[in-house]
Amino acid sequence: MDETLGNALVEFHRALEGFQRSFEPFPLIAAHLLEHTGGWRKQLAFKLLPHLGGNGCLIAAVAGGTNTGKSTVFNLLLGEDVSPVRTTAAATCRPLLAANALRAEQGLAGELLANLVPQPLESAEEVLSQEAPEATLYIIEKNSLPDRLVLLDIPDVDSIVLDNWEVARNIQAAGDVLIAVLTGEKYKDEKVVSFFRAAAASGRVVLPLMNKANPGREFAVARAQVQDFCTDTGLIDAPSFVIAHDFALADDFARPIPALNAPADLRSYLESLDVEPIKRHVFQQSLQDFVSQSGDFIARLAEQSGELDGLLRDMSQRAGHYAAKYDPEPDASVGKLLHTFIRSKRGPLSRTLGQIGAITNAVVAPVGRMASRAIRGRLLMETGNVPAEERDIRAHHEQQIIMQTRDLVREFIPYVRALPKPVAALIEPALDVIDIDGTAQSIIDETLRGDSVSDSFRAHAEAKLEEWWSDHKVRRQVLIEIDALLMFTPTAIALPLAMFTGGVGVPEVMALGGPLAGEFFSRIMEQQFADQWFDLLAPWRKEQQARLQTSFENNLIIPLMGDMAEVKRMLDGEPTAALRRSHEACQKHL
Amino acid sequence: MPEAFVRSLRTLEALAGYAGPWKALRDELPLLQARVEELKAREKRLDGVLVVALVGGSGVGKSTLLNAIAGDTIAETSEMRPCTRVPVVYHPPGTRLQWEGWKCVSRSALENLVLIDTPDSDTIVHEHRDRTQQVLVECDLILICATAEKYLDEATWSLLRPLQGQRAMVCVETKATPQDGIKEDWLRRLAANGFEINHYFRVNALKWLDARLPGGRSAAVEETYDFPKLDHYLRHELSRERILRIKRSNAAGLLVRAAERLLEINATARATFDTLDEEIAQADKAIARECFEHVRARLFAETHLWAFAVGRETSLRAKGIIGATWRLIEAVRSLPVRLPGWLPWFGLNQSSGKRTADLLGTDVLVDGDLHLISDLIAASYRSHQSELAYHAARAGLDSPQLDAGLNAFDDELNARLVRVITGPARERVQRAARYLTNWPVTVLFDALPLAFLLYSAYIILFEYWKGIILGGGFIIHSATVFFIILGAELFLYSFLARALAWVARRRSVQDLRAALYAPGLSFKAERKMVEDLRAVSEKIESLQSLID
Repeated sequence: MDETLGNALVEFHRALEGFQRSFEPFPLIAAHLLEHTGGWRKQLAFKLLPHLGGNGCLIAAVAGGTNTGKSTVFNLLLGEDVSPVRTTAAATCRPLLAANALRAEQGLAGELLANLVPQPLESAEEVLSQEAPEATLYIIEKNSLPDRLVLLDIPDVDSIVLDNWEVARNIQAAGDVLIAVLTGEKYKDEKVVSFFRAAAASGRVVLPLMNKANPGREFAVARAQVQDFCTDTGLIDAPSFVIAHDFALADDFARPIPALNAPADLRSYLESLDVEPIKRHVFQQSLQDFVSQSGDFIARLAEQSGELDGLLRDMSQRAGHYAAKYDPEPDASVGKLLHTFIRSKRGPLSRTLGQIGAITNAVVAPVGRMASRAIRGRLLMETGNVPAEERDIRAHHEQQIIMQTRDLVREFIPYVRALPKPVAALIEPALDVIDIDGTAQSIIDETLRGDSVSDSFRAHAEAKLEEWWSDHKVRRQVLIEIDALLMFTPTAIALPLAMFTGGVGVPEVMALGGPLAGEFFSRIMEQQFADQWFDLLAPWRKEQQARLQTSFENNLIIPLMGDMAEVKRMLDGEPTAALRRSHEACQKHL
Repeated sequence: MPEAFVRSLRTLEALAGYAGPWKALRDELPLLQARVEELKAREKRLDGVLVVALVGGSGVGKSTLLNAIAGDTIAETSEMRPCTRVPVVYHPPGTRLQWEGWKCVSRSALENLVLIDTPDSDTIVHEHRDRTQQVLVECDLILICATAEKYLDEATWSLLRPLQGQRAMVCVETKATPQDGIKEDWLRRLAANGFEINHYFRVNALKWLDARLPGGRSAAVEETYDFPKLDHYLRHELSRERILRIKRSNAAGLLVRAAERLLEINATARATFDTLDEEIAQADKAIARECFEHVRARLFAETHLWAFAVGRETSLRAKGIIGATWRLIEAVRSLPVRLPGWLPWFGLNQSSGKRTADLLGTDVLVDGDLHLISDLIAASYRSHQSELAYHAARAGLDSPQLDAGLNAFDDELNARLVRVITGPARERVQRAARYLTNWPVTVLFDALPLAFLLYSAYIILFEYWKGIILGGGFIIHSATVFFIILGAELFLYSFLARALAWVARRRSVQDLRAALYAPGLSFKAERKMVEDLRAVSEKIESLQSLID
């Protein structure tokens, strides 16, 4: 293996570890993302990374279904009783490696099978216990083995002890040669066949061995069965071996395992195998598998990020939908816009009158408000239609916002619960502890804060009015004349009256009351015009709704979707980028 | 079937048709429906025929076992895997069976027993597994066939796990050899996984079959191990009663499983129903308070309307001098409010004050468009409703339709108001009028003016008898005094009327409070929803006792 590929693989491994670490706070998402990645991750950990270590020796593993006689075959290959044989199923739980002194030393130093924890075998029973960590590898020294060959006995791939499958798959990734121990009952089993199909597809040498075979008619049945097995697993011309059901065991482990369709017995065949080409082939295949499958994985990360993005957008859209239901009532400051505009267009006389009116208004406004409250009291009883006062408008808005917030969250709850589990787990905790009243209050504070007419909206309204003013010569004349009429009429009535009635103070009061009334009437009229002629309110409503949506985002969506945004940020950000970079580096070596 | 079973089944059946807002329960329905269907099918099939399925991995010797039991080659056997492709049904002649696509052999000598040989559960041919699953649905007793190699295979176990407690299971080790058996390990593992195994047979079916078939090698009975026992078990021990017992226990197992799942869901949901109830009660009270405050501060705060109503009621009943004068005054005084009624073009302007006075005083009931509910109350109602819906959603219920309840609430509120106004309130107004117009009061009030009139007449007659005719001065003087008395009495009368109106109004406010605060003013739909949920929940609860 050349240096740069090794570096690229190490780099990728590090990036993958970094990726896993960064997703540690979100175990469900991590599990979801890493689903179906076991194959190539095992290839990387057990074959590609430790490749240098195991150089020059063939790793042959005895694999198969439960109770097919894997340990028996292992013992036969070694020529002595090493691995404990049990009549009960799923007995061997941890892999057992046999090698000569040199290789055993290497194995104990972790150079043969990296990422498994080597441990010398002290008593044979140890491999039967499930207590050791899953990644334990027991090692036993057998000097009858040549330098170029190490043998492994591994757990089953099909019993109800699911841990055993996992261990077997680790060794499948680590091994170069797999001896498929089959029996008449188990050569067609789904679990067994798929295990060896995967091994064969990733370039491993798979050697079928028919155990407990019927020796009649020169193993005709066994031959057919092996043929069947080869077809199912995609093996072509695989050398096969056979053990008859009457093969003497108890006393004699030294007998070679005969060939069924192979040039030599199993042990000799294994020893005769050319180490280098096989290792190169397995490595190349593993690399290819790894690169293409991890490539798919990285592509899927982008997809996942897209899905999360869609979800975030969907949530925002829902918030927008509820914000659009918000129907704010304009307060005086909106209606006043047109009036202010027309005031700036008045002639000198109307302007003077208007200014007098405005000053008087400032003085008598508190009295006016008291009077209006009294009048409102009467109106309330009579009609039930309450004229809106500033304070009521705010309460009305608050109530609307609280309801929209609550409805929005209420819609979120079933929506989130229906999401796929890992994604829902990102939002649900936040949704469970959400303080709906507090959130609504901060949304209210944010939406209703400050002036209800923003500077940008004022500028927009003024521009629109100015445009109208220059475009509609006739109508603007009408408007200014109505304004003048409304302004002057009360004064025109009040002045002669004041003159004729006389008395101390009366003329003055009337003289001031005239402009005040004029200003009052014109303002009320023009508020109506502002809505009906210029449609100033619709954009104002839209602006208020946009404000609400923004504060929905800030106070509801962002806190709720914080974790999800974080996950998405990681998917789009450095952890994935590092994976992609190192993956490209690996790809170059194919 | 015992009655408890039938009742539980009916309850489950009713629950399977649930279509309410309880989402957790609705999610459970497809499974529940399937189980109910199965239970119903099983109930119908409660005859004396036991369906026995031979299940196990490929090559363990299921077909051989069937052949051995039959003593003949019924099912095909082979050394090449997989062998059996479709289920082979071995049944006594005359049994009515409706399984299509399965191979049926109708010459079983086993009375009351249908043996089905299944395809394998574990090879790469997936249809075999599906077919086996179909057989498992139909069968009553499972003979789990296994060998040393296959007794722990996940493929077979995963088929059996969902049927725990719902099928009687018997273990058969099919290829017994003189070596150590697997019995202990197998039974230990089965027990650890929650399986209940009725019997265990260690047999060598091949040897038995060999001994039976013509031309076969004869084998010693000990070489077939427990086969004679198995044979005896199938032929003789499975009596009618025993078969029925197995079937019942299977059905009960399924029933218990279905019920347990529902009870689990129910246990988590019950607390939320209580909180919902409480929340509805609170919201109801809050709405009632708002309505009460609203109406009291408006209709019931207007003393003049009540005085007006009492005045009119009084004028209808009034008698005597003061009464007649009062009538006259009332007629004039009420002219401004009566006039619009007489002049059609004024009708449009009828104020609600007048209408309320009408309400209090006359038999004219509330007209349809009188809606005392204001925008404020409607908004508040919606707000409370949205809060309830929010809590319901939190509790995992579908939100009820919003806006729908507002009209019902409006109607209920109006009905209650109308009931108060036309009932106790009007009663009080009329009572006040009756106090003022009863005979003693009339006589009391009329006594003074009458006495004065009599006194004046006496003076005139007395002076005339003395020969003096009293002049205009005396007449004017007495008339003035008479009118002063009349005026003073009318003032007193009107004061009394106002005082009684005030009392009537104050008392009616109490009536109003009682009427509005009575539970059930608002949130009818929500209340109904929780009630329905409770009914369902109780139904589920009832399963518990039936199971026990």
